[in-house]
Amino acid sequence: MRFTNYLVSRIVTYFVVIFVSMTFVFLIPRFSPIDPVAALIGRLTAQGNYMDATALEAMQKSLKETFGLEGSVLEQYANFWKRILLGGDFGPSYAMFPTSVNKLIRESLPWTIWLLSLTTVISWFLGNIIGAITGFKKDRWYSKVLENIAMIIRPIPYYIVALTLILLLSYIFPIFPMSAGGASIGVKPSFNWTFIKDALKTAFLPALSLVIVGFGWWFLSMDALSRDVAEEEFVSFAEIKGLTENEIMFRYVMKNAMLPQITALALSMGTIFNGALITEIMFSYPGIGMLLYRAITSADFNLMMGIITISVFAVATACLVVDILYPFIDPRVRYR
Amino acid sequence: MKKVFMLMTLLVLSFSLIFAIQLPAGISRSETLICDIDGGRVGNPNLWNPYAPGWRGDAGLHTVVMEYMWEINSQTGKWVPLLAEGFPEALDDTYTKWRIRLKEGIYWSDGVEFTAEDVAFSIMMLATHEEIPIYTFWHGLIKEAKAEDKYTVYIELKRPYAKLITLFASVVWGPQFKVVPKHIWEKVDDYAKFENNPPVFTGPYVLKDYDPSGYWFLYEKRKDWDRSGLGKTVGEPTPKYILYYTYGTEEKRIIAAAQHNLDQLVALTPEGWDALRRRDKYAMAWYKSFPWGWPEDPCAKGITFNCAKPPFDNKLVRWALILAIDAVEVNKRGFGGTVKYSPYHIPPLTAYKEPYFDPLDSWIREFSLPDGYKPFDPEIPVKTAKEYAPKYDIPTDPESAKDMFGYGWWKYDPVEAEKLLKSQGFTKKDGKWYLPNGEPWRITIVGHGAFNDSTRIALIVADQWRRFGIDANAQLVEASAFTAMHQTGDFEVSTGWPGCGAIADFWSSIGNGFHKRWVKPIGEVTTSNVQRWVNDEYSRLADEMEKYQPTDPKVVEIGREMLKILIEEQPFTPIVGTTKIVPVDTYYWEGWPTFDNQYMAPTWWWGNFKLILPHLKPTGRK
Repeated sequence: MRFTNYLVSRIVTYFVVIFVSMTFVFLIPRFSPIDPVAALIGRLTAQGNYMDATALEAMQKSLKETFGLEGSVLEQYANFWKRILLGGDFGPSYAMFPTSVNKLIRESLPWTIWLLSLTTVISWFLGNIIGAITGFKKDRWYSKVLENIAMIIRPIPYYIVALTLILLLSYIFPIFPMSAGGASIGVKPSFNWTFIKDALKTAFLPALSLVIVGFGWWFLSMDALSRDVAEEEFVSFAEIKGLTENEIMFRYVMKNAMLPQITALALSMGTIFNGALITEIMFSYPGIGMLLYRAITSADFNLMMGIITISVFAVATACLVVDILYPFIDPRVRYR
Repeated sequence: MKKVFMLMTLLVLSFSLIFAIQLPAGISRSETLICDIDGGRVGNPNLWNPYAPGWRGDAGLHTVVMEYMWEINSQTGKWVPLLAEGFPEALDDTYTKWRIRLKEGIYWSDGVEFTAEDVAFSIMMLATHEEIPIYTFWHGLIKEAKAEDKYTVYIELKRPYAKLITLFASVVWGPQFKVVPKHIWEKVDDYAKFENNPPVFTGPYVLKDYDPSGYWFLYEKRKDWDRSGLGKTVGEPTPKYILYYTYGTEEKRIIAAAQHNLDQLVALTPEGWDALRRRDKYAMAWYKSFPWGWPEDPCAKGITFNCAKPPFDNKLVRWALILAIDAVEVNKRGFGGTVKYSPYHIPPLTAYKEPYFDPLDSWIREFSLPDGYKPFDPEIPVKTAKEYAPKYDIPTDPESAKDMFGYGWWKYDPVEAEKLLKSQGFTKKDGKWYLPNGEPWRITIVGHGAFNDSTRIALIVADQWRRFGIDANAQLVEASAFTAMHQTGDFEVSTGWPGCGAIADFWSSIGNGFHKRWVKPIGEVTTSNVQRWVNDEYSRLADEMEKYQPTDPKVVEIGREMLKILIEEQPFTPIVGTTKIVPVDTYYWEGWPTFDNQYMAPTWWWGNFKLILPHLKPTGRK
């Protein structure tokens, strides 16, 4: 019964969070000094397009109709929910009209999911395992060396890490092509070895940069957590019991220190759907981050809504899953 | 950050290893021209419809695939009829009936002949289909368009319109009108949503392959290139393949060019160019030496006043602010001395020397403010030349300095500026200016965050006005916010660039664009005259100018009077022209236009880029 109450309250919170977030996401751009029609006209005039003022005026009016931006904010809001609830349709992108937002997201999201889920999991595993060892065996020389390396890497701006990798591995030692896109010229996405091999090669540098930076964070946090847990009385008790060092490290220290890291992993997996903007820019890698950036700079309300909605769903769902599973992972947690 | 980047780039460039781009099997690098994509990644690479609002032309569509009726050689100012034969012929004195002759023997890339039926269909499509964004304008203009014979189009308008050719010609970047093949488009239901993939146009190249993620686009020369407009007019374009490829950030584009994997770059910063030229001996810009860049971009950059907001509604206040700007410092700090000064409200182009700058030179020198003060300083170009001469060995005589840095600009004279402000009731206490109502004078200059020129001018002018005693700040905003703030009048001063033009007839840009009819109250959207400047005489002259064809000498006569009013009034104050550093890497391809060989402007991202292609020669390097 207690679990049912807990579950219901969590699910209600889940939907409230989503509703409130999406309402804010809908309203904020509309009350900010940006306008999709102005953005498109601005793009045209910035290009120096020679357009008679009369034609510009006419275009302003017809674009508003084309984009469906006529009507009050309330009407637009009602239409938005109707489209979402009836068919999950975010409408057309304004900046890339008439391409639909759903299509743009569908084409970008797999690249983001593949790159970020893989690198998040790799850096999480590496960071946690190595962090647990160095935290438990804090006086060993290798622990000190690794801690210092992580301390040095962690504060380096990601931009510099990415640029250094490009210069080192694409220019000085041109092992990886300085390419753009998710695959080489002429290689089309499909389930065959040629594409997979090519996609792995193209994704290597952006993945490496994310693993390096991600590893630093997971390592340092796990290192600190393990040090704390290692001071607990139950660890001393295990030592007195005569358990081996590895048994204590993995079964007592790491297992307990892992709990907050699992929560953090779940949340990190949720934020994957925000994309990795700087990675995508630096490595010219296709993904949802760049799409969101473009949506914001071009006041593409529909595209913004589409991407952020997915992100809100993902983060909220990750939180819900953690909330539901946590009591099973950590028996100390009891339902209220 | 720029310095760090430069140092890092220079350091690694010194190792200079070659790593060739991987092209698909059967395509050799020596036959392929690799071009930069101006706007970066194309978000919707399946969209090839130039009438869809979200279309992108900069990845090859409008540079090598589509052709326009007329192109402008913006370097020489000459009209180049590409699909048309000669100029449009006005059939009556009121410019409501027109005839356009087409070149014979041009074919669409699918083998169907290009005829007057296609042009008439395309015009009527714009005039009758509401889903096309510029429909309203064309609907109000076009009464009828029909094919008189296979190569002659007859157009009848609902109202007189002498500027018809500017709708069809690529004056700057590209025109409104893009002719489409009737045999394909007549079957389309919704023109704004039609993808038009694969694209069929008359240009000399066809789409061969593209990245579904929008990072590259490969084009192949048509076997029947001689049946394209370019083939008929200029000759055979040299590269067999053209690859549009976006490497992304400037750092990556520089490295790619240094590795000879990018033959042509769109707009580098001065710092980026410095990094490239120091290492890549094949890299070349417009000038062989300082000031490097191409100074003929058709928009002058400067500050725009919101004339609907006091105190900027007072022209003497605007003049005071102008005299508190040190243009030499703007050029030096903002652009490393590489730009031309622009005292007129049209860009400092070579094409404007003969019609405007030379005839108005004695007038501008003698021009005075109401108190008799003559603000023009013709010595500024010489001063700038002398400053850079020791480092770059450039000539300092007045004529050479004028060619390189323009005709001059307004004096930097804070004393006169102070005098003007005090005459308008402003007061200065402890070095700070106060408005006539006693409040401290604060100015926010809105800059376009995505454009270096706009950003730099905003920051430097704000600094100079602060030194003058005004509490001035720069606010840099994103593109959409910049435009929206302009359109609704939600700014005091901005660093926009309304002063654009490429041909002697500037009616379509600052002529009609600065007409009082566009002025709307603050808060309401206006797409033109965002400075909300009302001048009856200027508007009358704009109406007068509208009556003449762009090539009519009367246009220039009226244009000179309009420029005089703009100089007196200064609703917008251009400071410098725009210099584009658009380098090429000549490792694989030679024959690019340069200052020493000015057959075309280096406008790689404009529709007229295709006119350069027949001039390119392979170097033979594999």
